[in-house]
Amino acid sequence: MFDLSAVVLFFTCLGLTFALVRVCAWLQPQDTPSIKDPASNATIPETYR
Amino acid sequence: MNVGDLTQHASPVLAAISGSGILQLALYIAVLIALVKPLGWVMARVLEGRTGEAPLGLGRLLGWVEHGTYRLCGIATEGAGAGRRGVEMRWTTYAAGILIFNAIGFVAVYALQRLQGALPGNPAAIAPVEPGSAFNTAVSFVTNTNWQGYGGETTMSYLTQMLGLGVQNFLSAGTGIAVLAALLRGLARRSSATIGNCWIDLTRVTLYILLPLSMVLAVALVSQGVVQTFRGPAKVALMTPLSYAEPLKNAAGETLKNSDGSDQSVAVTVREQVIPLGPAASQIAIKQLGTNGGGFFNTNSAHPLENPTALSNFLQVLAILLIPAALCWTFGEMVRDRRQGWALLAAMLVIFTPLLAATYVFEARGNPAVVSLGVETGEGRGGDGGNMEGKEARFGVANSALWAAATTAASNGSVNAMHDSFTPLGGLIPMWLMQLGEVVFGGVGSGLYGMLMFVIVGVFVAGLMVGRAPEYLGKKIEPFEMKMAMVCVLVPCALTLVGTAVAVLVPEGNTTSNPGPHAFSQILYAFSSAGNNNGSAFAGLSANTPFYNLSLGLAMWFSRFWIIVPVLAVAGSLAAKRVSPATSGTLPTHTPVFVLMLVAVVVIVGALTFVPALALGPVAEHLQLVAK
Repeated sequence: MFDLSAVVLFFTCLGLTFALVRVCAWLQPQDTPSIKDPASNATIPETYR
Repeated sequence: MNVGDLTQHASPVLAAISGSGILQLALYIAVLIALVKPLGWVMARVLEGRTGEAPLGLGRLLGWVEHGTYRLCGIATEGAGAGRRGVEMRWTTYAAGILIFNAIGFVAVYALQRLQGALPGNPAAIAPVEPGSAFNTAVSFVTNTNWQGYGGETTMSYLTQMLGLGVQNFLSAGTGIAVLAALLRGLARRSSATIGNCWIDLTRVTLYILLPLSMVLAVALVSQGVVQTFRGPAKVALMTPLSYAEPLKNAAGETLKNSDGSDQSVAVTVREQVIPLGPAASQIAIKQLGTNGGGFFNTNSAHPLENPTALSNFLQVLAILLIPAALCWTFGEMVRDRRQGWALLAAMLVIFTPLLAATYVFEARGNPAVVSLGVETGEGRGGDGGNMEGKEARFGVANSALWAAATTAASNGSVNAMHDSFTPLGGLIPMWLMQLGEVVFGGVGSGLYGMLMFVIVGVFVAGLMVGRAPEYLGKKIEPFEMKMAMVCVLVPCALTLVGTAVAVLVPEGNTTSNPGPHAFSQILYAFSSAGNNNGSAFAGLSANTPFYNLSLGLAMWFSRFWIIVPVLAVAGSLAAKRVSPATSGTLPTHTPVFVLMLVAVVVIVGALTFVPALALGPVAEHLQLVAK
């Protein structure tokens, strides 16, 4: 194994893991009502959930 | 050695074990349980951001370091003083932060290994690590696995050990606890879009929990004789010079022959020995507390400079389960129902204690092939201590069995005896403890969040059985949480079994030291260890090859982060839910019935998944032994 192949392999694994984050976020139901940010107690707009 | 009569004893099991062995195991569990509450209380305060309440003035002492770290790293915070808090993150942002943080860790550890020949802190002039091994080691230490395909004292410079491996011991452990903190907030919060701030969690966990505990333990270990020095290897005169005949070879490496066909040789007398030294105590402290397990020396905690006395052994094995056990209490504290924490701790102990006892019995009874010759080895009957092959005389069978069970229950991976030399059934148990998914105590943070995924499966199954909508701590468990929990359960199983199958099929996987079932055990153990982020090595398998460096490296990465991501997704999902008030139909999750239900789920999943593979390895080997 060479340095380049080791680094490319690692970043491929990292990319696949980021892809899993996207897939999980896509699978998550988006119909949760009235989500509030505990810091400001303001309701989070739908687009930022 | 006592040649005894097996028929004199009504129970061969009881006859094999000794009173002192049982007492040592009981003392260990008692001390562990006694420390759960005080440490769990402190960790709850830290994870809730109430660092001002930390004992011994740690809050004031370390507060300026914490806030200086935030300023130095540009971490956005709100508020002031002890009430300062990080800007809240959604679970996807939290996950991205964790991944980026660990990616930087990988690059740093990889670069240190490859450049160590040109860097300071290398008194033994050790050459750079080969790229494949460097990849495997960097992934291993970033993922809290600490699988080692190399010998520490001959492969890594002091700088690489300290700045690369030692630092990653802290950061990978911190990652596990940070992810757990996010999940606990998900359970505790109501209708929240956020689960905390990963940078704040990583900083606080490292600063207030891991560093102080490691410093105390490192000093205690130094007092027992664990080495801590920057001096290079020492040369000492042997008390008894060693002589042997060394074959003479030509330039091609072939042995030269005499006219009569015998090998030419020259008499060599060795009068001095090289003893590797180094800053070991500081690394060993965190390797045990952080359930890392990577040894400073090749023989890990069997090495006399890494684990010299019975007391150092007790302190280290206590440190291994200390934080995972105490986090159960932290969990109860953070969800404002301590009974829930005790219930999870009870479930872990219900699985761990019988398996520990069984490991001790199998090893104390000795090798069945030796016993069948009429040689008494059982330590309870005055034998030489059972199966002492591959074990240190200063630890004996009881402490070797305890270490094997504790390190494989936790995702620690260090060894004080060679598991390859355990009896087949004695070696089966550590293997199975890893295969259970590292949820019986497990890694720091990762063990408890893994167990909570099994809890989700458990309440779902219970809901199906009684016909009610499943919920946990008032949060409804819906299909999304179940999907994520099943990913967490299935990923390690798939990595372990598929990896083993591939290694058995391809010629590159055949680097075992034994044929037959034991060879299969060596391969299965390696993938069980990497696929569950344990790091324990069976020995016997030559794993520093391109095939194993690559395949085990991939197993370690995906078994770590393809669990962390769904766990954080569950945290985000649960945080957003409302809490349903408990009714008469709510399944209580703090009762003995639920504890047994949870134990059954963990054991059945582990048994159904791995019994066929175990039958091909250790079970077949045991049957071969007793049939002789």
